Amino acid sequence: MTSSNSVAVPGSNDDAVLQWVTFKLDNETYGINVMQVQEVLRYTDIAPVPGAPHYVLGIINLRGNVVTVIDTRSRFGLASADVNDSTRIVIIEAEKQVIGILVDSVAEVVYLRRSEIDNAPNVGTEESAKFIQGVSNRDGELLILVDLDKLLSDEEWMELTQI
Amino acid sequence: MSKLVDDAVCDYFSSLLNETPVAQRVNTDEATGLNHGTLSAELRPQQGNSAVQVKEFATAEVEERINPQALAQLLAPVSAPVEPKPAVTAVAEKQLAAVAQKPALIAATDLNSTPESVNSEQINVVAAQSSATAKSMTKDLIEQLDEEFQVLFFKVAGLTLAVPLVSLGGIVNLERISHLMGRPSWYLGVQQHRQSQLNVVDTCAWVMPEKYDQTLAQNVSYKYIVLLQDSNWGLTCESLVNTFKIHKSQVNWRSQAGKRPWLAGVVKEQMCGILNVDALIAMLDSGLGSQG
Repeated sequence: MTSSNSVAVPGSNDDAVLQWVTFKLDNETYGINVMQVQEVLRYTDIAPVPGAPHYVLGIINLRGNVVTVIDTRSRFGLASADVNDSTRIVIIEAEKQVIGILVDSVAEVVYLRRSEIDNAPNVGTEESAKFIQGVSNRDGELLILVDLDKLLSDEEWMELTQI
Repeated sequence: MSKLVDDAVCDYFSSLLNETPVAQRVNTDEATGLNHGTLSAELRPQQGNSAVQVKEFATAEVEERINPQALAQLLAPVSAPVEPKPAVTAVAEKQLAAVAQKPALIAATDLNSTPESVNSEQINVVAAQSSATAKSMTKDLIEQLDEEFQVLFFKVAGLTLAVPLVSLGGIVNLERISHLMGRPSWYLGVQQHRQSQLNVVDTCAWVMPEKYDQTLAQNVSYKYIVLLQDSNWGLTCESLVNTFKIHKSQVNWRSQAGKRPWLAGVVKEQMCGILNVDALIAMLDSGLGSQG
């Protein structure tokens, strides 16, 4: 985990507070490193790209820049859902690329102590098992922390640059 | 299959045929004398608070489909008088010697590490370890138990399983399960329990994956989670039958590990599998299915 989203807490250097932007997907709450989030957009039309990989929804024009939008639900192995007023595109930076991820809604920024983050059970056999960086119990609800750098494999990140 | 086991299987089937529907069976939890309070204060059934869709369970239909095959599979290694040594065990023993010199394959991860996909080689080695140690685990379990010991019987999709009370960590109601991506189909997800995360196993999918199709999945109505010792693993179940005091001699203990080290033996009178919880936890920790 990068420590770039940590906030220094006097007297507790080994238990830094980390900031996470939380979003919802299929009624589960996920968290991503706040330092990797550039902005959050309302849903806008996504132009499909012929021949693009299945995990790419398409591209959007963000102030003159072309940004590829990833189908997060598909990536997480979830069923697709209709777009509604809560749908957001989160613009993130991962593996030195700026991409958008489509989410059901964006909730808030939460602060978690490192000690509050637990390891996810290591029983995953699929690629998507790598996405989970850890889990945390927050107000009785499970927050699943996602490692955005692992969202795509090295080959897939490379593939994105060629779209 | 020996005559004794044959008779017992017939008795078991007869008892299933005469069994009451699930609606009545739930009511009989108390009637049968199961003291919920002694097991866990959280055991009281709560309806309508589960995020998991609870559907009417077509008991008779599911039991009719599942029991004969499932029980036959569970009993197969037990009832065979001389089980031929599985080829995998021989390979496993060789691998185990090599593995003994290596550090643990699956180490606890920290936040800087990521769970890597378990490749087939790892699975084979872990299976080898599970298989080779299962015999000693069963022996350990037998030694750990008193001559007379208590077991809890619980049901899932018509199949009855027993867990020794010494291996029972508690029972909690099934509430909100958080799904984690990329996990095996038998891994239901995580439920919060006393400020920690409980890994919830879809028992039916784990025990009999070959029978677990879409129809069965829709018919199974889990209500409780049976906690395994002090681990963070729990088995889902549909109903709690009762606790019984049984004698060691009332169990057909498995003499060979076979493919199912998690099965310590079969309780003869009730004809149900008794769990080897230590082996079961080891398998779940390794991400293995019931067949190893």
